[in-house]
Amino acid sequence: MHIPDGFLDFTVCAVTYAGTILFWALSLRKVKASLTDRQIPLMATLTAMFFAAQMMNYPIIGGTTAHLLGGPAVALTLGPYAGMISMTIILVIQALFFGDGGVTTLGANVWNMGVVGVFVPYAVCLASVKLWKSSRALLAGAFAGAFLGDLLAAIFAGLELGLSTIFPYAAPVAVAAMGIHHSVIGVGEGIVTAGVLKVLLKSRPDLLQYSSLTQNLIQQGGSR
Amino acid sequence: MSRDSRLVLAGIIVSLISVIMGSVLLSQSAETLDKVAEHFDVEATSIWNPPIPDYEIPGYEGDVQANIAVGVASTFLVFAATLLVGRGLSRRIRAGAGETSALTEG
Repeated sequence: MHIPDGFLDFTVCAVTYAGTILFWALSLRKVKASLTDRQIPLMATLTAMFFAAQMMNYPIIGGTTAHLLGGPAVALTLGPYAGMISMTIILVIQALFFGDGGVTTLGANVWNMGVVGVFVPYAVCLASVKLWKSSRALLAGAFAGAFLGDLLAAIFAGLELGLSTIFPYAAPVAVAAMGIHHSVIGVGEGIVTAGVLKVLLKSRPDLLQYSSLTQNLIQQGGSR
Repeated sequence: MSRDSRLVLAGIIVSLISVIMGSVLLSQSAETLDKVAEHFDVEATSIWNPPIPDYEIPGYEGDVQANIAVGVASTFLVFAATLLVGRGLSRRIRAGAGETSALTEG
């Protein structure tokens, strides 16, 4: 889903950079107000883990491959603002060192994977926990949120490509092409995200206190 | 070893396993976006020459050991970069809190 240089025109690059800069400013402010010393090694570990996980490409449909994004798991563990910072670090290093994603398109890539791919899973999971208040709701919300986050991130990528004058096809064509494949990727992301949360809920529920959505659940002893 | 240290160690081990699997077994990449671009006949135009394009050291393309080395080094780079960013942000809180406290006390 990493859009390289040359795929998006100036307008799409500028609009996506503008949206991303707003979220960077918001996330930095929120993280500065809440980041604790104990949270930093966890944040670094999760960021490194999902950077490494993105190197594993597994086959999906139509001869294409996919990899995990990691945004949903980071968002649900650390909260969406720290999650966005983590995804930004991954995407900047990928673009600058490996040419995986462009420099002019960094705003679009962070928007897709670091904003949509992080805040959507968090919002879905938060709604699920608020509605049903149980650890099952947390895991179901994590799966659904990760699936929707990946799918919507792909739809945004398709939309950006479709709206760019460089791509000769209309937005619906690019959106459909990206969305269909990434719905498969979303299932894998959902399973991994729910799995990571399940392991942390059982082994280290204290770490999930950093994410306000799980904090209330843990305080209520929600292990149903 | 503290529980937090054990968690970091476990995360690093999982990362290294992912790098090795990604370099040995699951290295073949044919992303949807590349296929879509190929179908629409659109080519990437790089404005930046990355030092290690496509995670492969120039001259060592296809060398599994070199790819694992790049994967391990870059994973530690991400870990270190996140620690630095985190500590930078965290330090500012403490500095700010100290200043506020000093102002209040003063």
